Amino acid sequence: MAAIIKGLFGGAAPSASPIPAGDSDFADFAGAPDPTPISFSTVSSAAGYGGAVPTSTSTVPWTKWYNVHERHSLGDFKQEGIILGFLVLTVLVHLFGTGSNRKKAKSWISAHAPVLKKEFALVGFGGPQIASEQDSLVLPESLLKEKSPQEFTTYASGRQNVAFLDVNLTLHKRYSPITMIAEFAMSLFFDSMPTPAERVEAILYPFDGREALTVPGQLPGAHELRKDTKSSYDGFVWAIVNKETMKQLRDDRYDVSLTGTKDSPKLPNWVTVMSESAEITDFLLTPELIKAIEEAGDLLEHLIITDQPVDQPQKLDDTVPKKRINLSYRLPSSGDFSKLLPIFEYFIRLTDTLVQGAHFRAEVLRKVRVTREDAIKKLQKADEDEKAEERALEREKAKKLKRDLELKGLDAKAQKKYLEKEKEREMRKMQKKQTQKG
Amino acid sequence: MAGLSPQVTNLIIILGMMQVSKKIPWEDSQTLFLVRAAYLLSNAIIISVYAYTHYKINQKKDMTTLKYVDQPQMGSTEEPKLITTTVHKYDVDQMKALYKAQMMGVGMMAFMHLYMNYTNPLLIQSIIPLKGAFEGNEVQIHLFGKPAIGEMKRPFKAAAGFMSALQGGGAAPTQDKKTIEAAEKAGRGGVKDE
Repeated sequence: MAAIIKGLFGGAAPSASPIPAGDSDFADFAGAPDPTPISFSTVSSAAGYGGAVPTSTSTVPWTKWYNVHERHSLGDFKQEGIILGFLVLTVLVHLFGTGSNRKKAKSWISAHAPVLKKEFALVGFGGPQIASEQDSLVLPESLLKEKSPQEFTTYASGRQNVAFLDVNLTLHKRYSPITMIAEFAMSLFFDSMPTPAERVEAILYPFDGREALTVPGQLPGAHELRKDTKSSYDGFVWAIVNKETMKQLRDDRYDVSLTGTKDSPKLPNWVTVMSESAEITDFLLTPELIKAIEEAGDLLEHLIITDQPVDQPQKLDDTVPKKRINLSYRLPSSGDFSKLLPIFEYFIRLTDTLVQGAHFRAEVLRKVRVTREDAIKKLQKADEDEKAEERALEREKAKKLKRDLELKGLDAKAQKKYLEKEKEREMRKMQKKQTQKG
Repeated sequence: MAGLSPQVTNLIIILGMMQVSKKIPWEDSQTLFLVRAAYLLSNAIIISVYAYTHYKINQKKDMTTLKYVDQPQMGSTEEPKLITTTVHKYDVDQMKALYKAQMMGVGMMAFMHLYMNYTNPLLIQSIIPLKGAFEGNEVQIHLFGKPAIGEMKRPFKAAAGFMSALQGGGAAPTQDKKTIEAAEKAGRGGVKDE
């Protein structure tokens, strides 16, 4: 191995020199005997396969140039062979990895495409299709876009109450086993590194009464939309969370950390409800949802209805509610998605339930509102503090500028006097402060 | 031994072993081999005990919700933080911490022994961690089936060692209802580090 590495970086074997050493300046070609090639074996036995023979020693006879096949054997290309082998292996692993990831993504979309097509007018990135060709001609995998070999994404739009839906599939980095192993190992040792998992994350953006904004004025259908803008519902954060991930989730997401966690006796013991109010939970925890959760099993990670940002708001703009519904579940290793379809379908239809019934009593909403107002107030206060500090800094600057100007206008004597006066003034100030304290 | 706390027994063992190690002929390659073998054996036992405990934890999979407020470290200005987790997850996290500590110990020992050629600590290090492993809360609960009450109620208090005494010792996690309620809806998640 050392020889290979040495060979890789060059400078190992002495290079061949066509001029025999011992010759002073020029070879006397006229007087030289006609060179005759010696047999390959005598040279190779003397020097092995380590490249050309150093010609400085007198024992090696003067020979003609060798042909390529006489100078080298296959053994000289051992390192190249090994490198080539690795290259081929890498390419093969990559092809295999991307291929199996694609297959997995395809099986996902094949299972979910019927649901998506049933619910949405537009699925995928191909633009609107005519209803007749929708089912037969479009292959399910064309609805999916490959962002990277481990990330697939799809999009759907055109449904009552739903502006659009984003779905992201994250798979293992099968095409790079070393990275994969490293990530698993890192997640064991560092809490901040999440264990890599294959999961689907879907984010649904409800219209929330703003259909008119997405459909411009004169288009057919716009008028009807304008009349019927009742797709709004009350903003709140509510979540069903797998207990395995709840600690992480509360750390990572601002919106979820606004809620209280409470187990529900109606749910299996591996999930919990995070809610801002018990009444909201009562409304949303329908038997249908419970059934879907039970069927999905602990592949389900979370289902979150939220109107707050994921990251803690830093500016006042961040606090403007943006309603979303999140669903996240891990992919089953078996590739059988039938158990996960009910929860997926429920997730899409959840907006209808919300629009219909998520209008709560004022008492319930007060608590919810107070949380948001507190956050806004906190931000406002921080903002004001910052401004006050800035103003104070500016005042100080102006004062100093004034003093410098005054000093500049005086001659040396007057300057000295001015400084003394200033010192005295400061002393008096200090004394005053001390007596006040005492 | 029942009346003595682990720290005291540890101290007695350390002092005793220091006397013993004076008598051991460290230059003899035979004894050196024996001591090394003992160290490896002790670590193998610890790892298998941990692995078995881990297996037991996963088998039980106690999904009871566990809420507690983690007190921030002394000196930091952070507010106390609520941690919502399950007994199972808590146990697994504890086990991970134990594995990590074990690896660190072995790493230190490897450095001291292989690089700096200290041999004496091998003896003590093959006894103390082994004893510590059997005294750990997780092992006590899951391997010996002791009930998780009193001292062994989750969340565990940090062992009152030398370091925690220096740090003020008051940073024990609390399960006080009022504190939990105050911390629960504080909205502390999703803070992005700049």
